[in-house]
Amino acid sequence: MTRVVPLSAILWVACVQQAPHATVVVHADRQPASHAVLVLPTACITLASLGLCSPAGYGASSPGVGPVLATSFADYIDPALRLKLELAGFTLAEAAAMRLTTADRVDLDGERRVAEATAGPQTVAELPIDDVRAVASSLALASILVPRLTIHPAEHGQVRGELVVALVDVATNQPRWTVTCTEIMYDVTETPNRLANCAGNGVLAVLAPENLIGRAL
Amino acid sequence: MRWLLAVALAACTVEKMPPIAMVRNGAAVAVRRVVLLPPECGTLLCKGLDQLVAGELAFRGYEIVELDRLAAIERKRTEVQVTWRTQTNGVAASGGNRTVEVRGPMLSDVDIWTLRAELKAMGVDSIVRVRTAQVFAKPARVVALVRVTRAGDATLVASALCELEVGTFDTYQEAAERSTRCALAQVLR
Repeated sequence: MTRVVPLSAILWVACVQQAPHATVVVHADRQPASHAVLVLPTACITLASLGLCSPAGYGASSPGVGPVLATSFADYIDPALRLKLELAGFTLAEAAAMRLTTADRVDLDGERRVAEATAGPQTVAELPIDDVRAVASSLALASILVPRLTIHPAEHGQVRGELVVALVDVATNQPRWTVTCTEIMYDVTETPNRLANCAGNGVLAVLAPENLIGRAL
Repeated sequence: MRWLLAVALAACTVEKMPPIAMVRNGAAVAVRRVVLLPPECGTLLCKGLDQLVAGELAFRGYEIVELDRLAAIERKRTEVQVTWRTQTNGVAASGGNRTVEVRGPMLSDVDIWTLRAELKAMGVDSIVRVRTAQVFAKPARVVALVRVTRAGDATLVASALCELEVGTFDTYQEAAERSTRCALAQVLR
């Protein structure tokens, strides 16, 4: 019994992951400054097995058992990342919320629904990048924020998630800065969320370092 | 059974981490009339957060313009009224129904970036955005951000973020509401 307690404590400490570190690269002559930007949803690329870009692809529990997983990692990354970016001073115009044609709202006997076209791209986020740049340019948005999660194979049969967030200059299509965070995918919900917080903290560290650590109320 | 009670009692008495707030103030401008963007909540339920914020800001004396009550263009209204009357074996019966369809976008269906001129015409000086996000970690936490920007050029007026722990007996929605209230207490005082 006397050995079990310290052994459990050591195992517990060993199992707690270290927070990932953010690597921020600010490209030459492009000083970081917060401004209004067009933001795309997180895209996922896998360099490991196919299907690993979906949380359900990680051998999740049987249907009806355990928590319901999102269909995309963007659901775990985007809310946390955008929150930090807005705190850093960026005003975000959501490409995924910008409809290509304005939806028609129909109120029928007090019940409200939205009528939209079902074929072809619906939002700016579904357009090719050159068209996205054209939209950003027409809205006087100087930059596009492009988050990308890449799944890499790692040692011992594990996989590693790498989140790269790039702020791309609309005029030149060159990045102003990039933030990179990487970590072994120990958990399909916790790890992408930690990567998002890591990247957000990286941006905060550059633009608003005084807001990196909050104050307890 | 005693063990279960002891565990439940211990769970109730475990102290939660204190709420953590981060505040950023921008341009010192007068805010009078605001629009509230639909809240962005990720995987969390955010039903009611916009009403919560609108109510609180209205109480503090700010004018709230509700975009989802304003038509973007003139809407088309179609009203169909059907009445019928029958007589069988000298017994008369009658009835009817009425269908009203109103079609056309509201201002909340139009992207905010294309609304600058309309906002200016309505005298709106600021835009309020609420975001919440779940922190998938142990202990589970929820973060809420309330951000106020100038309508004309998206300049930051003030933003506040509040992070708090989701208690054992709390739902994520309750925690989202509390963290939103906490963040709101830090801006537009």
